[in-house]
Amino acid sequence: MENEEISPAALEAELKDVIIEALMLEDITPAEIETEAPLFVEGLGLDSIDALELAMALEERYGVQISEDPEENQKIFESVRSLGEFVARHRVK
Amino acid sequence: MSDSRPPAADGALPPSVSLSQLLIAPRAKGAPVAFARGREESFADLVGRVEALARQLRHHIARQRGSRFLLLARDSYDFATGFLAIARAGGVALLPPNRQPGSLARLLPTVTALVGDFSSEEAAGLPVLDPREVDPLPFAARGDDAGLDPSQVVAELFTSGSTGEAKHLEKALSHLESEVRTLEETLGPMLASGPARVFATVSHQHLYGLLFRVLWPLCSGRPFAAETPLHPEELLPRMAGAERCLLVATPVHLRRMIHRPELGELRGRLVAVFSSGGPLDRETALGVTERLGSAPIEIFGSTETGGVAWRRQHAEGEAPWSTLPGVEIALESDGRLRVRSPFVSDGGSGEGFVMGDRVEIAADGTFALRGRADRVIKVGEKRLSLPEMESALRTHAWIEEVALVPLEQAGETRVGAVVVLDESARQAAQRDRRSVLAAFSEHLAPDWDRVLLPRAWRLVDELPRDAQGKLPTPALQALFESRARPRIPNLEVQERSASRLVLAGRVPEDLAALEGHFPGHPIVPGVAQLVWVRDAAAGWLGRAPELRAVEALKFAKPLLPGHEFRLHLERGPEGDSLRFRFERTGEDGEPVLSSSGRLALGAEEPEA
Repeated sequence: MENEEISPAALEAELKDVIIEALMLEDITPAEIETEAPLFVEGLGLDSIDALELAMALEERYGVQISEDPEENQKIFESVRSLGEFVARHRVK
Repeated sequence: MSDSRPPAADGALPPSVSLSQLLIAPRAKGAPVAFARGREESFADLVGRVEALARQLRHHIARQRGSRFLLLARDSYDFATGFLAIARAGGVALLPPNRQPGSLARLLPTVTALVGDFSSEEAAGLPVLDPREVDPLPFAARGDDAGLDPSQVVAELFTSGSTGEAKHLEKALSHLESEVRTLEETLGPMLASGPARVFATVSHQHLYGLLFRVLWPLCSGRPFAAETPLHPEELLPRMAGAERCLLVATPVHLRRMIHRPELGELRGRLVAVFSSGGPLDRETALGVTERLGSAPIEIFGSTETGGVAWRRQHAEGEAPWSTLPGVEIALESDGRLRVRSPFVSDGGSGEGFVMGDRVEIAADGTFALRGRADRVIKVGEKRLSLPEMESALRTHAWIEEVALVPLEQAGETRVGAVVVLDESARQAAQRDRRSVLAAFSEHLAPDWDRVLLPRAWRLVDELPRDAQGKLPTPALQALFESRARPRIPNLEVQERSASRLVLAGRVPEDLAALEGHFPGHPIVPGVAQLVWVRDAAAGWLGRAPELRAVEALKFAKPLLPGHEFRLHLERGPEGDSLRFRFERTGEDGEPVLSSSGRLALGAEEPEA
């Protein structure tokens, strides 16, 4: 698939767009989202509804399904970096 | 993905017992009470822990001469143990709605000890009793007295009030006991007979979760899940491992769940879905019905009233709400619902409670909801009083005026904030809007659950008041129809009358609308100018203008970053059109026409 060769940095940049778009975040640009900063609570300050929405957006866009283990999912949603690693490993589109 | 263990089998459903008799109920020692992955808790373990913990609590009560305990636990089984132990010891459990440091800090001085799981920072030096850490007493040591006293106050819950003050509500054991009994008698027959495991997406710290996922399951002998998974991807495989199950959910979760194919695979085994904590949209209700073969059972109630009514939506027409047995309803003169029932916290006055919901009551005693009479909204399953949050925001030094408004975002209700900044903050916001907004969020963060915090902010010169000085919700919502950054935050009113409005401003260099228009040569796009016109008109007319057409549009000279300009709006004599004109200040200080046009408006709404 055309996306398979995408670099981690390019995927992370794309994910920042996905986050802003899917969660309708205002007052923040992709450049302002730090790759390693926490997405939830402190850092970007996302909440539980965002987590549900983001999981749906990732599945729609990349065909990835998050784990059935809540602790594992917390690690996946830790930062843009961890999201990128997860998507790169599991994406089917 | 799939669970390799065989579905758990749970024998026969034991006879239902009263909440006050639960701890002395003739129930098998090994009867399952609660479960989590790789874990199952028995009735003997529950009783043994409750009795052991109650002893410790009695010590605290005797020493401190206080019987209030803060109860907060992530695990629902630990919570249940703590709850029953506090009741057993004759104490009152304070149930904070969340772990926000502000809510905890206010309650800590009023309690003797904490029950549940707390970090040392959260506990702030108070004794912590963790139900997980106690050594259970032997089952044989359990009390053989008459059980708990139904008249004793066992819990205090917190909810947001419509007037701006948070409310404390006392629940006697009888409130909870009578509601649990009513639920089993009324809704129990709708659940397929036989044992079933109860899963949940809602917290036991709120009344709905307390009753539906902890107390009713305990009394009816249905084991309940100790965990509360957030994602459907986590929850659905857990339910797939049960032979038969029930789900206690909220609309937020059900809206996502109906998109997952695994939900349909639970047909015949997921025998009932409960939904409460906010209105369940028809699409989701019918989506659940289609996949599971039975409609979700919706519960209407509040922290003050407990359960009031239930319904199941169907494809034809609006399904009415049926009151639960024992609930009496009446219509107040302003259309609001008064509720009297054994579950209502009314301090024993018998007056019941007048809800903020407007209703229409049919001849057969069923009713339909007709919106809120106050400014209280639901975000996620959390109740938010907009006036309460507005008062909190007004205490911030940078905020002169603020109005909050519900917004629809991706099918969920969220909060938008329209703010008039004080002079010093205005300049700060022009330099760094984000930091100013972050300061407001931080101001709220200690007290409010994160989902309740405003998602979008609009900084305005004045709030869009109508001729009566009121703030119409549509005018506030209109400010959010386009994104924040294309706007000019500070337009100063220079002249304002019924027929004419003149605003002055400056095109900020960081305007988002400048992106891509055009690289190296930024100009304000015409469409952005029209958005400014529309927003200015919304504030002026007190309503979002319905645009029929844009006529005689002319762009003479471009507006560039750094340009000072004036926006003139003139109302046509019939009120059905609006002329606008952008003038920028020329190098000689004289106005230069930048653009102009005429907006044809829809008919004015009749005055309400």
